[in-house]
Amino acid sequence: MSISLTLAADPVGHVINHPWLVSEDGTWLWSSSQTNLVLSGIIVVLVGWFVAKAVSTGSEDQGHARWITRNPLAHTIEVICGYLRENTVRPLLGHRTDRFMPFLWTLFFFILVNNLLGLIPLLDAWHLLNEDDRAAHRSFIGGTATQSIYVTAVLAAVSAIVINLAGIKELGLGGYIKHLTADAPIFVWPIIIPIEILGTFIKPIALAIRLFANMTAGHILVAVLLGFAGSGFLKADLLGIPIGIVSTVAVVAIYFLEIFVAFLQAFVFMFLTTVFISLLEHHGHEDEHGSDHASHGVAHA
Amino acid sequence: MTHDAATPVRPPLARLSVSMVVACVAAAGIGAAIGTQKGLGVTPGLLSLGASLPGVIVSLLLLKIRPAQPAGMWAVPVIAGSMVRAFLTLIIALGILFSMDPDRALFLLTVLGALLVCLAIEVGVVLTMVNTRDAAQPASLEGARS
Repeated sequence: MSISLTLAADPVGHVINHPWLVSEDGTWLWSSSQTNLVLSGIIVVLVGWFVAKAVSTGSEDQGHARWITRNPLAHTIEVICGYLRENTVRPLLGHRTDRFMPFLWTLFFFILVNNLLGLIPLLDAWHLLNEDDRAAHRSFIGGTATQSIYVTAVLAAVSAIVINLAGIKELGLGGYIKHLTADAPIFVWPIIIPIEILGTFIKPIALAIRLFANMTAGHILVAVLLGFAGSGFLKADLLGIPIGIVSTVAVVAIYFLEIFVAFLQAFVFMFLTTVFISLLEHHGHEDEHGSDHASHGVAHA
Repeated sequence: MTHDAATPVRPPLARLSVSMVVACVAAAGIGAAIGTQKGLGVTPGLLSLGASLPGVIVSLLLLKIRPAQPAGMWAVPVIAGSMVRAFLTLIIALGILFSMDPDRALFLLTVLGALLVCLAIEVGVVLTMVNTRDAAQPASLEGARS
């Protein structure tokens, strides 16, 4: 018997994207991550529609009851949305909050659903039902879409477009370009302007790599620990059984941590996008500008 | 019906027990059906019950022995119960896997499926409990809905 408890030959096999349709020249026409992304989109739209209906204010003849959300799922999502809007975004964007909330909520929930889908062994279930695909390392669904750097790069690119367009709209094209000088004296411009231009690209790159790296590392860790557990129990001696038990405890702990990380990384991606949008706005005075650039530095850290 | 958020309550254990046992049996049934279809027999599916049910029972017992407390304070015991259930289920599943050698993929996926559904049921039931006990405040909601 193989010592691996995972179905793939290596721990990474469970996480990465698998081709489904491949053209004759080797181009991937459809992959498992694409199915995950489409499925996530459908889930976000359907659940969002359901929640919007459940949360909407009832008719006046219902009295106070018209404000109450009865459905537990809708209530939970309403609380999350309210927290994100009032406690996370509004302190940063102020009067611009409501303009950006649809985008920021969508970003958060789309990433969250993708992260959570990655924790369900859909790939293994597909391979169980389709032996041919398993042998050919193909899959229609499964893996973790937000583990793919291509997916996170596209998400970050969309964020970058919104961040910069919002900046141009808020500051005007001239103000946007002037912002690249960070209000520094002219003799510092040769240093500041390249740094600010680089920062424009580094921000989305950091967003993409952060999500990609976090989702990859956690999932691989779970698979590796399962491998340890399998090895330990298979050996079944004085050393093997304790290793198996400790590894199993660690798997459970890391898996629950991964559920938390799924929420955390979706929040971080949305929050940093908000921070970057907020950095490109009019500043009242020098100190405010300085503190904004300080928070900019924190966001990069 | 809503209650004060500070009122000590208990999770609806009867509903949780029935839902989880039904989920485990359903997962085992699906596993057995797939096994039959693929020529692996019903054993991997049925053996999954042996792994998932003890974990479910122990996690419910852990909730049962806790005294009643405000709904918001059930978060940690429920998560701890879920972790104990997952740990016990995995340990027993590994024991069954290495001692009885059922089809690895089908057996483990059936067990994991049962675990995931149980987790979803638990989250749903506890959310309902928290929502029911979280006395809706019309005045505050009116402001929040702006």
